[in-house]
Amino acid sequence: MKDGVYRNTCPRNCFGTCGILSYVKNGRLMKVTGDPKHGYTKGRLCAKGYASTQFVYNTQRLKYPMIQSPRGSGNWKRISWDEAYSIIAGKIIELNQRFGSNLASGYNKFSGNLGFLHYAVEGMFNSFGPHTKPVGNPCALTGKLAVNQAFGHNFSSNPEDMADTNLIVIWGANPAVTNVHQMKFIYEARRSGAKFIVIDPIFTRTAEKADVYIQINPGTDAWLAFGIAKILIEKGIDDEESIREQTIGWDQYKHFIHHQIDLSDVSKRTGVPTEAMEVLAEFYGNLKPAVTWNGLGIQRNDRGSHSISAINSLAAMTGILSNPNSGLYYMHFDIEHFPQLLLNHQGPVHPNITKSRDIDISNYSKNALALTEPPLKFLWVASRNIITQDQNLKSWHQLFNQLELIVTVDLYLTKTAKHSDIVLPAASHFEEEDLNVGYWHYWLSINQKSIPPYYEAKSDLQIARELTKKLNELSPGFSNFPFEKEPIDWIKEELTPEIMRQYSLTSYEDLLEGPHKKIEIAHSMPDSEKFRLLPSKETVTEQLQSENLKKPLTYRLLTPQTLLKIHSQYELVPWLNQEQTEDIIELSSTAAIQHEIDENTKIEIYNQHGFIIGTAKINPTLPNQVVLASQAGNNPINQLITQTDDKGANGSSTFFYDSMVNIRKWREKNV
Amino acid sequence: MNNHFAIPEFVQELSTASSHGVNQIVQKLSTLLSHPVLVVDPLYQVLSCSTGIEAIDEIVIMPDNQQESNPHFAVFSCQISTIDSLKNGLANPITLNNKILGYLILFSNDKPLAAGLYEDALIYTASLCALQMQKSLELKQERQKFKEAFLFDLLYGNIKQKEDITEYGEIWGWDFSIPHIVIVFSYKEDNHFFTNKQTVNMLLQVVENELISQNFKPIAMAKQSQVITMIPLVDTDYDENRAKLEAFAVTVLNKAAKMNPEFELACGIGKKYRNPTELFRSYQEAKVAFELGILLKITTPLFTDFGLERILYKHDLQDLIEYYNHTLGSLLEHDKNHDGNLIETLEVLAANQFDMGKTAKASFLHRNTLRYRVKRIEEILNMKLDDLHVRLDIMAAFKIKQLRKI
Amino acid sequence: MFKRTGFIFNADDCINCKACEISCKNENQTPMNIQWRTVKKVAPELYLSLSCNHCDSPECFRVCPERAFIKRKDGIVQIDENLCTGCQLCVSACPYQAPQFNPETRKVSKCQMCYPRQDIGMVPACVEACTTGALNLVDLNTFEDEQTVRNLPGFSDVTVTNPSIIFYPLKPRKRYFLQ
Repeated sequence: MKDGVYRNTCPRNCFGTCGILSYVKNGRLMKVTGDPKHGYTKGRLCAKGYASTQFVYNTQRLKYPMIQSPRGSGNWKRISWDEAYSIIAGKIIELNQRFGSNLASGYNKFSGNLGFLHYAVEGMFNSFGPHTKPVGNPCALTGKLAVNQAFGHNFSSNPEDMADTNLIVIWGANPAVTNVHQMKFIYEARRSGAKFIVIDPIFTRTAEKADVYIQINPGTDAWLAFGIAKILIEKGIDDEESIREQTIGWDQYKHFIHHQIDLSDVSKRTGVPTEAMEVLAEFYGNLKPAVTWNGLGIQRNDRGSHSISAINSLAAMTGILSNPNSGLYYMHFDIEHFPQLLLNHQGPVHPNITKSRDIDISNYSKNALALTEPPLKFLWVASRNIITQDQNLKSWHQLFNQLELIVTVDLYLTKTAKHSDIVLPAASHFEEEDLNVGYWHYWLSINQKSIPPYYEAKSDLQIARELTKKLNELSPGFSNFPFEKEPIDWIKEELTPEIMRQYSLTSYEDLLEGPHKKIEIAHSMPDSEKFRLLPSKETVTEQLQSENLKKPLTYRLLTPQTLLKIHSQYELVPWLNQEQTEDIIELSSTAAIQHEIDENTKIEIYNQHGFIIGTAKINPTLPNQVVLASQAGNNPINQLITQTDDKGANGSSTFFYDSMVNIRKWREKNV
Repeated sequence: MNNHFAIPEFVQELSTASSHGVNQIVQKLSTLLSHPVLVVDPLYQVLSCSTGIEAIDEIVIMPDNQQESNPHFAVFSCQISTIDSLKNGLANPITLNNKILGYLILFSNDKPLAAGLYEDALIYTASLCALQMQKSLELKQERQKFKEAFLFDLLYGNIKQKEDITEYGEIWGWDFSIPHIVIVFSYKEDNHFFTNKQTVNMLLQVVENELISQNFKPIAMAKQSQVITMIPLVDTDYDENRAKLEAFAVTVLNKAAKMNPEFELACGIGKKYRNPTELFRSYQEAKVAFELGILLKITTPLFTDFGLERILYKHDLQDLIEYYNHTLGSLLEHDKNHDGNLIETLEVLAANQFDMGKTAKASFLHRNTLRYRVKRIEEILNMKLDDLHVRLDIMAAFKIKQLRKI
Repeated sequence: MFKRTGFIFNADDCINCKACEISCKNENQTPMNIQWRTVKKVAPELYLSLSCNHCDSPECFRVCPERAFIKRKDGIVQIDENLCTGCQLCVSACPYQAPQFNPETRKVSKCQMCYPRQDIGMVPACVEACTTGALNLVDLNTFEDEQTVRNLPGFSDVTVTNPSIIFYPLKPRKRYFLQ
């Protein structure tokens, strides 16, 4: 690597997808700065991004491939890459011979690195023919489907445009912690007079900054949206005719709101005073253009789909359809407009198995355990830390017992890596080429290889190339992976003429000069489409009935992202872990009194799946029936989380926030 | 024809003289008009005098009130008083771009002068003076920049070699081989930084003039709300030095207060340092003395006078509050519950070194009443006031209060 | 007169994202536990991002027996680590915990306001990193804004050292907590 400044892109599962400039000297990353040519992040990074040098040069990073025997013993032994490949390829081939297909081989990969080239994992498995693969999106699927249902397509407004609006209403998102770069656009709007509203059960950092903060009972967002719609409809809607024109189901919707919504009932369910609803209705009615932001938080429970539909309907009747500068935010899925050649790589045809076995990733372990003929025997884990992040851990442990080989590719010896037979050291994003596109903003950017790999680390793509080569050596024709293709070839092929046009690129080299923004961003909906208000009447009624039965002294466990981590990522970076935050459990003053719990004492939260010990912190702004804890750490909270059986035909997000727990003081004997 | 463009001879003479500076203009004008001439600054401090500099030591100039209606444009009459005489004069402002640089004054040793007769000459000469003064002001400002850079480095200890400081000082005629002390004059700042530059520059001028009048080559600079000066201390006698410094500070404070009564001004005096590389400490000390002086209502606070106050001032607030409450809490509680004012009695007592006689006088109390109160105080505090340790605690607690920590 | 460079911190805009804190480590590659800048929660909803305040009357400066500190004419207070003997008088004298003692090198270091960057016309790393624009530089010799204050709760008394920092306070907000 030559000394100089390189362009990188942060590939984390984050709204920022920040452009990074990497300062490299003697093959070493000296420091990073934001890329000033990135129009969304504007030359800034977050704290995690600024800790990049420590993320890369960290004594805890994996240096070499290792094997442990027996699994979980901690008895690790360094092996060469070739040995690792031989063992893995040997197992894949053996399973293939034993079961007559690769269905016994599967992988679990999610959002550890969202770069295009990390689909090499999918591409590699595709190249073997039918196998076992995860489908779905535990994070955002429910909201995606609800937005799709209303608009007919995926849709999220241009985030930079938020600066030019007069009303910003955030439902269940916390950009001050999870999307810091958005705050400047919100402040810009506010400086020109905009009102900024946050609706959230938690008094978040974003809520602290809002002009008006409205606290709401978790999972009742739809009711609040109905209540505001009711106030607006009763006052009379100015352009009702055009709304009727542009929507499907206006009269039904109006009828429903008129006859079935009662403000005092809404107030009781949501905990929001009527006065606050009046204020919000007044803002929605008078401040144009207005933007509404559906946070991911509101769809982490089984009523999330209804909530997003109800909020979308409210946005539709308050200007999103008529005022061109209004906006609706969720997240977009523009990556699906790219060829995604690695993801969509076509493998060899199997004589009698037509396709791979799909497992819903939101319930992977249970579904995988249910598989027979053949059972799942080999698992490849990449871009994922199952043990700290996935739910239904009991069934995961059952699944692990059934697996004959577990391979984890990671930068660190994570909890999941510790449960594996083989770990393979992954390259950081500074050590590999890639291409990245945002899911919040609309910028496309390149990721250059700016430094040599840390010890023997390799990228997912490089591993795919070398493992498939080994497979073909041992069993000619086993894989059809195009291992001769270099990273840059894959990047160039993603940039089809249509993509180049959309991002005003003349060649791939343009991206070396700076990120490029998509030129036409779908504003709301194509002219031919109509907005579909609320789902059918039946689902509305279902919504009305599906109230959780509240048991006394049970608490809803909320586990939002914390500032200095993304899930479990960055937890081993010392700069970012100077304060102990990981074992803190926040509870309301009322709960603390009821359970006679003092600040900073040890408490236990538990349910039928297990228990977690933590330090109590009394948060007087927390709703009485909510307990707040952070993710990952030594004692990961996901032990208490389980996914209820899926109702939706198209799948859903994981309903993390439907987990209920009990609280008790910690006593030695409980352990 | 040519006569129309003829320039009067006296004009030529004056303009020729003007290239040699204001002093020459004054001399020339005096010769031409056969009367003494003065040039003063906007504060009526004499800059130049045709009868020689030693003759103007004690001159005070007062514009005649009734004629002062528009001093910017018109010639006005004034009185010039020296030690033994009172003279009448005519003054004309020296202005450039509407800014008054000073006044040109013509005066007579006997009868008043007729304004009409001298007006044109005065106006013309004043304009010549204006150009000269502007030129020298610019020069001075140029030199000032260089000087300020040196003083800044001196005040922040940036020059680490003693010899360097002495050498540089010589450029302006300052002798840093003798001990110096720093005095800070500063306008009070509350919630905002003081940004009125003109006021501070006036203050600087007052300080400089005062130093000149005491035959010092002034070492002074303006810095935000402050004017900082360094005064050489030749005398070794502490009390004499102290008296001189305090007198100097009081004079400056009074003069400045007259000029700008709307801004509150205070000062602080640092310690004497023999080694000029240590003078930055004197500056820092002067600023601490400044703050303590304001709180303790001392007009000319010397850093060396503060002992306990300095420690308390910097100490952790929470700790001080605890100390205060521990020492006086029960008395405060008692006063609150009984609507009493024993705490005031104790404060006066402490302020009078626990002398019953003085305290009775200061608080207008009968001795017996005072005695009774002191007994009550001792009961409530559960302490004996004749114990020196108790006295120290009480004094310290009141100091904390005075320092506005409570 | 010279500049008096100082920080201007808008508490109302700060979201406690700590980018300033970590970007300082990134720029200066300071060792673990050496924090030239820290963001602290000092009261409910009030976060302060603080470093050396490059005081007009620096106490570090006054107490240092080695005269290791200098004050540049733009106001930046620097410490010359070569002169530092590690006596730590400055550490205890500073009301803002700005000087940081490194037990390994036995030297004190502190925020230098990124003077090498400022000398080539760049802002300090912390200011560059502040995504909300809450942290900025200002010339306190000329800056005037009635909305600013010299002190906030949780910040040490400004009278002794006259720190070169000025604040915008929190603005009142409307909240509806659960009924």
